[in-house]
Amino acid sequence: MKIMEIEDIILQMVQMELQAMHFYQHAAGCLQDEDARFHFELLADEEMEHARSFHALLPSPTAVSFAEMVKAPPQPCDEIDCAALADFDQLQALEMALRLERKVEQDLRLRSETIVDAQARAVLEKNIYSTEGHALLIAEDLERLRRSDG
Amino acid sequence: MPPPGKTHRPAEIGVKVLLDKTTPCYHFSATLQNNQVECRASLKILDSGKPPAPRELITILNQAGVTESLDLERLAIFCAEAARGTNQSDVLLATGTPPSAGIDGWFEAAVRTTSDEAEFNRDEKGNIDFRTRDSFTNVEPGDLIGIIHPPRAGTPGLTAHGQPIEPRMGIPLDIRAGEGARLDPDQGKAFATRAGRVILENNVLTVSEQLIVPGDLDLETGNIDFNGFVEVRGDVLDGFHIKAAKGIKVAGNVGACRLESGGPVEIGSASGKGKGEIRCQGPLKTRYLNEVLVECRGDVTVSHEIRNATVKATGRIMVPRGTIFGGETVALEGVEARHLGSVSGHRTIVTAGVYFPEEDRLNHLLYRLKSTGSQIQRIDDTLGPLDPGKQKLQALREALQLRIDILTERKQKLLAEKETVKKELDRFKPQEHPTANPKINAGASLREGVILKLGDQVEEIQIERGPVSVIANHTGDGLHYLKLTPLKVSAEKLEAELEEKGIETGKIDRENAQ
Repeated sequence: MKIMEIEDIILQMVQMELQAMHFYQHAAGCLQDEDARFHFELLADEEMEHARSFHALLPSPTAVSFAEMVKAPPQPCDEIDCAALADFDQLQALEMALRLERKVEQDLRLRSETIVDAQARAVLEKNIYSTEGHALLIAEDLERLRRSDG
Repeated sequence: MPPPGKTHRPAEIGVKVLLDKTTPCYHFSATLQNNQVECRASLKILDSGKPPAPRELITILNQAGVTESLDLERLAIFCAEAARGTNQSDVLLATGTPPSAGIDGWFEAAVRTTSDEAEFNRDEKGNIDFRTRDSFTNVEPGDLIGIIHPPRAGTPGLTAHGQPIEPRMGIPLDIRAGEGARLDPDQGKAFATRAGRVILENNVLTVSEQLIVPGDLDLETGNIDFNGFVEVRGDVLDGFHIKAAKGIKVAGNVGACRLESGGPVEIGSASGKGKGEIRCQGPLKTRYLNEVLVECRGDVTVSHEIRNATVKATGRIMVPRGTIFGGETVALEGVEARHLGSVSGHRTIVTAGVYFPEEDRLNHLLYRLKSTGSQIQRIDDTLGPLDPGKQKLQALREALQLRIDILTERKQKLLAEKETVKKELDRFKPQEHPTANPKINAGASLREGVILKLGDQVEEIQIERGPVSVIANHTGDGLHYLKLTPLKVSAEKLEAELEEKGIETGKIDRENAQ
């Protein structure tokens, strides 16, 4: 695979993570429940750090500024129904986040099966790995919350 | 080129005879016309004479200086016609080069003048804000307004017989300096002598401190940011903003807008729809204030009504013939209205004797202190159960570690912010305000549901009363409800009188309450 192609796939991964960051930020703004909002803001920060780690994989990371990519306006979050989210409690918000993370993980796995190039596949697998870790973390949060709710 | 030995003399205007030659066979003459740029010739063949050959006429014309400009083709036709027996009269044979016109003096503006077409600006993402038109430039004293360019000469010409024609000069610019502008003829520059916007009208350059919008402030005009005084003779429509250094006057209504003035503000009325904001460094005068936030470094005078608005003043708030209904009013030098509150008992908060910039800053600091504290607590609660070491899965361990890192960094920032806020709070000391007058006047009625804040004391009115002046009671509980006195009679003076007379508060309240 040519360098450009690897660069493209890394940039795609950065964009994916940043889109997830924008989603959590937007959703956090809709939530009324303070705990839920706090949790979503945290998830947004985690997504940004994932994006940063992919950006560092670029052959020349200084060529495309990460700060500029973060500042760039996101794609519209069509799936967010702010009015519906407003009444979500922390439990409902985290259940939604877990569903989303699992869906992203599944999509990435399907995509990686179609890629032959080892380097490109490694980039995708890194994302699958971090998404899986994120999903497990949210699942832990949920379990803890359910336990405390009794 | 002129013939050798001839001097370069400017050509004369009009018709000039260049040559006049008579031979036994013909009579040949040539004149210079049209500023000597054209050479026209006439030829008359005398009785039984032989017409001249072209070569002969060329020699004659060359001797008269007509060389480069001579049109040989025309001369050939001229001779051929003569040979056929046709006398030639005033035929164009040579054309010199006319001088080109000079360039008139002109003014190169260094700033956008009010007579220029307004433009819309694009932001860094290329979006156009149609509410913001770049219609003029604010100038400060000493700023360069523009350069006065002198007229320039055109290129010189040549007569048909090779004499140079001096170029024509352009016309100097007739420009004069009006108020607020200065011309420096030596530098050929114009400067502002005061702050304002530059106007170039009828060749007079002025710097105006005033910007008048003859009608409504809308998309036609756009938002205004002016370092002078702005007057709008119509309404200011929702979503438009005015920033003016020296003052704002609006004849009509101000909608959900932002007005920011370095001086006084005078408006017909304001209906802010909960979004409007008026901030002024001088007094504010209006008929109505409705659902708007006002922060005024002076007196606020409202002739009719303040309704559901937040109005803060470092002077007085006065509605002597009207009502303050709903919302919150805060004034350092006292509050006065004919009616305070509503018959329905709508919550109306009235505070007097408080310098709002200080109180707002204090409230902000206290809020930040509380907010940072609760955020730090939340982070601690979240960090508590996180232990990557207990997890078997590597992916989860890494995710946990990332979360711990993020939360730890956030906590450090919050701790630093909390420390800064605490330090400012420790340093915070309310200033002395000699003009403070913790006094509230209700000229007719002080209605149920009104909350009065005077000094440290807060009281909600349970039963309508009035006319009444209310002042703080620094020696006991509750407030003093006194016989109505003008706002200029200070609360301090009234309280001193009470102490002197040794009258109990409750007794006065009973005697004066209506």
